[in-house]
Amino acid sequence: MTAITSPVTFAQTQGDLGYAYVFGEQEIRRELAESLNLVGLGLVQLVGNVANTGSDVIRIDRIGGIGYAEAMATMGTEIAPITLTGLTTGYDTVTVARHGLAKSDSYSNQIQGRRLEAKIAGMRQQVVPSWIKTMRQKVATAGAGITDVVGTSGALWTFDDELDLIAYFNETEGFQGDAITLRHPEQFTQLRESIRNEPNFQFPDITLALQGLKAGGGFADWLGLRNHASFDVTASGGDHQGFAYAPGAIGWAVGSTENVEVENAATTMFIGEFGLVIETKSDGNIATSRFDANAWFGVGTCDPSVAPQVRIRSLNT
Amino acid sequence: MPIPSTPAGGSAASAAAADLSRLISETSGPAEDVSPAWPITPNFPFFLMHWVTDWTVETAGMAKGKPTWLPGLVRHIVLPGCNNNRTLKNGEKATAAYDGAVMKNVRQGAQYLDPERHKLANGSKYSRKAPARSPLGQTGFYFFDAFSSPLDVLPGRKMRFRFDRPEWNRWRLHLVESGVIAPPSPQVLAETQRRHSKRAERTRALTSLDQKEYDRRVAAAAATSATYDGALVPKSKTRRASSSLSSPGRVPSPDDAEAN
Repeated sequence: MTAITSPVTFAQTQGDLGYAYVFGEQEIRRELAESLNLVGLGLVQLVGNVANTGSDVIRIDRIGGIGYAEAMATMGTEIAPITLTGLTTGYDTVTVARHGLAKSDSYSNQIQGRRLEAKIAGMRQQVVPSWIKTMRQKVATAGAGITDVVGTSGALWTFDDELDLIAYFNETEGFQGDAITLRHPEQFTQLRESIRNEPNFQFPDITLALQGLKAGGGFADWLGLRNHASFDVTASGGDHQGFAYAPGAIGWAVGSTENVEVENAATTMFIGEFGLVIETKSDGNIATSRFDANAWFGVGTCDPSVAPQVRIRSLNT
Repeated sequence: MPIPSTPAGGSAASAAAADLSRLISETSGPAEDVSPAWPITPNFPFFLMHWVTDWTVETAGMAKGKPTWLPGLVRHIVLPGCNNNRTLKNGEKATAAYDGAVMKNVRQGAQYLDPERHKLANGSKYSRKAPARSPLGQTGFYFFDAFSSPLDVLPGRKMRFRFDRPEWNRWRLHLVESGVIAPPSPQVLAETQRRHSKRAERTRALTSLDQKEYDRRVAAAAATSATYDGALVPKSKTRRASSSLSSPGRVPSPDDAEAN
């Protein structure tokens, strides 16, 4: 029993009647995490499903040397024979791999825990965003393997580099006019800093337009490029390895999980279009539950003869 | 199994045997709980490779700071489900994870560096690994290049590395001089030189600048262009490497037509 003397103060009553802190009346706040969804934005194209095929590889074939790729021969005389011509073929492949994510919690956490997000049911709801992040990392790794490159190793990205990048696409025969970039945020900082010194952009309206080049999952379109930024862009040799490509240059394949047989089908989530299956099980002996998410998908770059693509290289500061 | 041999006409360097199988097996399952581990998410092993069209001019680490053409080296990260790297089937050899991916790149003109054979001046491999544990408990190894060294991890920050560019450049020069990587094609250099020459021309068009700033920029752009034009082209001292670029052969002269 605590004896409270007059005047009654908060300092005296808080110990028995108050709290050290109370929780704010709002949803739990999420820590910052990049949320760029390359699939949802259509930045990578689905190329196939390996389910029931007997393989883990999708092959995408291509053909050239016909139609717009070949003009008719102009004949030298009225009876000159026409030379037979052929065509070209090739293929690209996307290989599907297995991916996994698992979490568990105790019955006690499920009973006494205050936040759904920190219980197994809430964590299970976040599997799809984890899938999206995994896909983004794969795309960033795939793009770093592109052959052609613009930008100087060990040097900051400049507006001149940006012009070279645009020229790369515009000077590629067959380019349809739509190009996407995925760069490390630092590479955009380098571009912005270079633009600051560009005399042709020293006007208020243009400066305002350039404010569109900002972080937050996506960057504005500029100079005909659809710009996006990701921290998943890889580095190699002290340089960021961003990349730019025409739609179709990067594809993904999936292994649909609809045929997978599981122990508790009623509580299992099948997301076939992502090649994803999420199972939940429990062990009463140790009073814990866990979920296991498996996903089968893969990413690959296609041949530059089908869709132009180039690496964006600049100093990793 | 080593990297598949280069098709006919390929370079000696790209046919080099390289085997990451031991590294792959170390990452294919939960790693031994080694402490202390780096506070970073484990990643995947990698090869370094060179695209024959990728050359750049550098000065750091070069004798007397002389601008020198050096080969671009990028990582082939052995990440299953990415660019033809595969998840291993039960009982499959570790090299099956990447041999198809390597084959495809070699066909397109990549030269691979074998971590066992193409070592640094001090005899160490170009790739290293350290035990790693992510904040969420994922354990494994973190693979990094021998030119990167970890910086102090500041509270609330991610782990960062310092990159030794002079040493990296000297090693790349050594790879050319020792015949591992073929010297660059003059055509590849000319394309890059032409790009920088155009930049200098663009700069001369910036007539809206005041005279002093205009002069400064034009001089800087011209100097950069001249650097590319005059950069040292390294040569192989062993004649071991040859370019995998194909030549169309002798250009016919008008005399050939007359002879027919």
